[in-house]
Amino acid sequence: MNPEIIKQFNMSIADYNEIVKRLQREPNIVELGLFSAMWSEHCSYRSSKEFLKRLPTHGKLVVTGPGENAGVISITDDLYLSFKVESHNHPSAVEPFQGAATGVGGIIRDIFTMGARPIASYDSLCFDLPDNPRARYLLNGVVEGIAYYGNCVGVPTLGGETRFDSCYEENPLINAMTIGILPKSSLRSSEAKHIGSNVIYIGAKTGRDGLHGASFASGVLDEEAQKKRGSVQVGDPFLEKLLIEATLQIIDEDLIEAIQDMGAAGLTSSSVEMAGKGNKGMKLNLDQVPLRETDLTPVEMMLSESQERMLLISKPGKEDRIKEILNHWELDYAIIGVITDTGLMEIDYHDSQVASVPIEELLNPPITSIPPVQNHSLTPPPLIIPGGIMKEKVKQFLQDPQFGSKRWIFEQYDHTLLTNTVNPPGIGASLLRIKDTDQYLGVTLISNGRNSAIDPYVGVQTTIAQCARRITALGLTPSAITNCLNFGDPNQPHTRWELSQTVEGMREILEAMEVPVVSGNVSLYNEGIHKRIYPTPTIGMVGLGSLSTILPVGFPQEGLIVAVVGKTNPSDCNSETLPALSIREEILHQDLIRFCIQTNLLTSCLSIDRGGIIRAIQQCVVYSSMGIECEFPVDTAQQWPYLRCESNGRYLISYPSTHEKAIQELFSDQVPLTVIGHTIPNDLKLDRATQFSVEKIVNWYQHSFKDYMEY
Amino acid sequence: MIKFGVVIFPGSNCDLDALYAIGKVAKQAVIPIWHKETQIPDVDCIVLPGGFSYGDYLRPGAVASRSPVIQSIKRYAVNGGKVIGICNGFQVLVEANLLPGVLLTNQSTRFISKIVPLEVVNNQTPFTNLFQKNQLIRLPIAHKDGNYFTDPASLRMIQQNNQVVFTYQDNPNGSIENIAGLCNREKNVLGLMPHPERACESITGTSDGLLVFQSIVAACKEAK
Repeated sequence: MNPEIIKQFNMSIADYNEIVKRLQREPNIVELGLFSAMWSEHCSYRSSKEFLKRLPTHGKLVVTGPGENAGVISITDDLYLSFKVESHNHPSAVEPFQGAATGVGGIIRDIFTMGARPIASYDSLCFDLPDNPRARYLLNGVVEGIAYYGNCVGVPTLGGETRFDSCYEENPLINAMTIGILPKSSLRSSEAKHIGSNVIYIGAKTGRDGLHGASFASGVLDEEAQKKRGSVQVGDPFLEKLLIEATLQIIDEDLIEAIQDMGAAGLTSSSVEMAGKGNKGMKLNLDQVPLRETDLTPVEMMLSESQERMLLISKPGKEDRIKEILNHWELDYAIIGVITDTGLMEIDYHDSQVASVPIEELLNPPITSIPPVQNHSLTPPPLIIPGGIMKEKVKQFLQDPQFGSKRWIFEQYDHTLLTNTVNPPGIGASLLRIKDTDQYLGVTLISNGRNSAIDPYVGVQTTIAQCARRITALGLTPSAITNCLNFGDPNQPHTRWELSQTVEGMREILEAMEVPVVSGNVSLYNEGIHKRIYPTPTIGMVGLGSLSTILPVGFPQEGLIVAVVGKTNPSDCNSETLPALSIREEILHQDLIRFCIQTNLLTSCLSIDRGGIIRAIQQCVVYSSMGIECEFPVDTAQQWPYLRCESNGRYLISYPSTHEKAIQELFSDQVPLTVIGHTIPNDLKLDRATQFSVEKIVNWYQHSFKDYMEY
Repeated sequence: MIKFGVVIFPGSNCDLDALYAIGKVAKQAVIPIWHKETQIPDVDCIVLPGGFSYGDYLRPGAVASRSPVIQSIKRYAVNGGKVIGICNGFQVLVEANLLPGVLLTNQSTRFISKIVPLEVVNNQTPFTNLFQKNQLIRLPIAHKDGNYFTDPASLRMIQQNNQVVFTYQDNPNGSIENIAGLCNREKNVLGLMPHPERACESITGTSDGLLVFQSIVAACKEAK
């Protein structure tokens, strides 16, 4: 075949030769299209598989681990929770609005494909510093896209995070997570089960949008990539809303044996994966595919990434009822194929066969193992610069847009819909009630590329520990995680070292905490022309439990004792090493904090993570309009590092003096507890020279980020 | 027991919350009404829920206002039937001319989602009879097109007839005269941008919305 054509499919000559070897003949253009999609990094995880298999995926709550559209854990005996995080980095870098919108649509589809009703979404956004106009343009478009899609489709967006670092200048990160709830009986899989069952296409018609999307996401973001705006799909949240209702009704009436959404690589990946999972074959007739434009070629139909489409395998005799439901929701329906026993993907078009390849080969790309090489080429700046006047440093921190309110973002997202939201977005982990049960759900989605750049092993552990502390501060128990690994070019030995270290780090802490990974996504090739991103694992954690009390955010009254749980090490501020992390201590502190909350000893509890003690103080002060009169156990020169360092295992708690004795006894000498002051109205008094009115702190907090976006 | 009907358009997404608030929290009978129905079932009050009916293509509420069910609801309302339109439901009611005025895009041009303080300026309606006059309440808003506007003459009429029911304390969207919700002259049709159905249990941050549904129940009982 002409090398130019092979190149158009983003395929290497080596891969092409491998196809010829395996088929014992040249593939035709449709077959080449199938291989290019299925062997892309995006669909096959060919560079990351060897690492991912080392993650712990089992646990007493796990119903469905990685490998399905999303993970599933049990909440009660007959109620399940499904969740997953996924990236949409490349599309959002070239077309922020549609890139982010379709990212949200895609992850929501993964959730209702499992049979779950999506109830909340979260987004982790990493951009260049907001003084870069392009970063603001991208962020604005991404937020608008998320709002447009999420608000209309009817899934509230309850939080996430926004981070700024110049490493994301050319390649911002947009990771979206959705959670859903399902009755046990609704759980579905994508595995084809019976020979002769019909393959049914439902949802939107197929157009030319998103052609080569999967292979586009499997290359670096160079100038060529910026021209690939046509590879970005266009989302229609209204159609997806109809698709959710129709799909859940079809599942509820038990009309199908398998289901898969058409995401990356559209019809190709969904059909190949469904047949492959059941060790079956599939025969498709492309004449039946509903088309938006009539002149689509077979290869375009197979590779289109038109949104809001699903592939179902019906139970025998249920086709008419499925059609009725789709008519009710005014969605397209077509029987486009059948499950076979051949193990082949056979495609017919206009009365002739246009492809016939073994599914086994499509699902097993050649693995080229490049040995990892340790490399610390990325050097993040230190957390603090020594010297200077304390008051100036605190003021600068309190005015930093990084740490300012992200209200400008989350107020564009509907976050009260579905009436499960207990605490509003903006602080710590999100808390939801689960209707008709006594259970609560905590969710948090965070990343910390800076830490992973310094040390990928401890870096990801720190992120996971931070998630667990946020869940714990609600009084809940960490249950499971989903993860999105945003890394650079996997053909580089240093990227493979980062991946390997990250996965090993995850494995150690997750096994110790008994928190499994149930779903995830890998996003590679996150590199621009000049820069590569910090290795950025994004962790989405869910926690469950019953709650006797729901703690307010911040301090409910004056006269409360304010204390820091855990050891603060002011030297944890440099850029060469990360703060030490003791997994044993993390777990010990989590258990103790949960016990204190459950026994109503605390009046507030916030985990201390990014930004250190000063950040936790800022949030408590802002959310309760209550100040603190502080007395720190360090001398003046050490005060700023003490406030700013990011030592692990810590929480900022408050309690009434009547509980002091009980708390002192509980902590005894096994967990450090440092009283740092007591709550007072109106002012934050850090020391004699460093005092700010609560009003001023609130004002800075509300404006520092917003003013950048609205200037 | 009082019976409510919640209309479901393709793209409605607050229908589940309305069904839950009325059925499970206010503990009244409630049934869904599909947008293609031309016969209104025997109900005491009809709820047009929020969402993006028909994708809100063209203009919010514009397509829904031409749907079969709305033609029947017009007759139902003319005969004195109680209708409450929330958020997108409010947009449908103004597009259907069941309420005066229009809902423009928010002054900020962005979607706004937050819990806002409101004043109940008229408690002499079937929807607010259990509130105190001028009571301050908190309800969530979540909309992009909630900026109420009408011409000066209509505004005078609306005010003279005491049709303004809820006003914003801290106008979030640019609405004229801070109008958050208003009723027709006869007081049997109410439209409001805030979401009472999302505010029926204190766990969600405010339960002030429950009084709206309880007021409707009280008014229906009195009428029976």
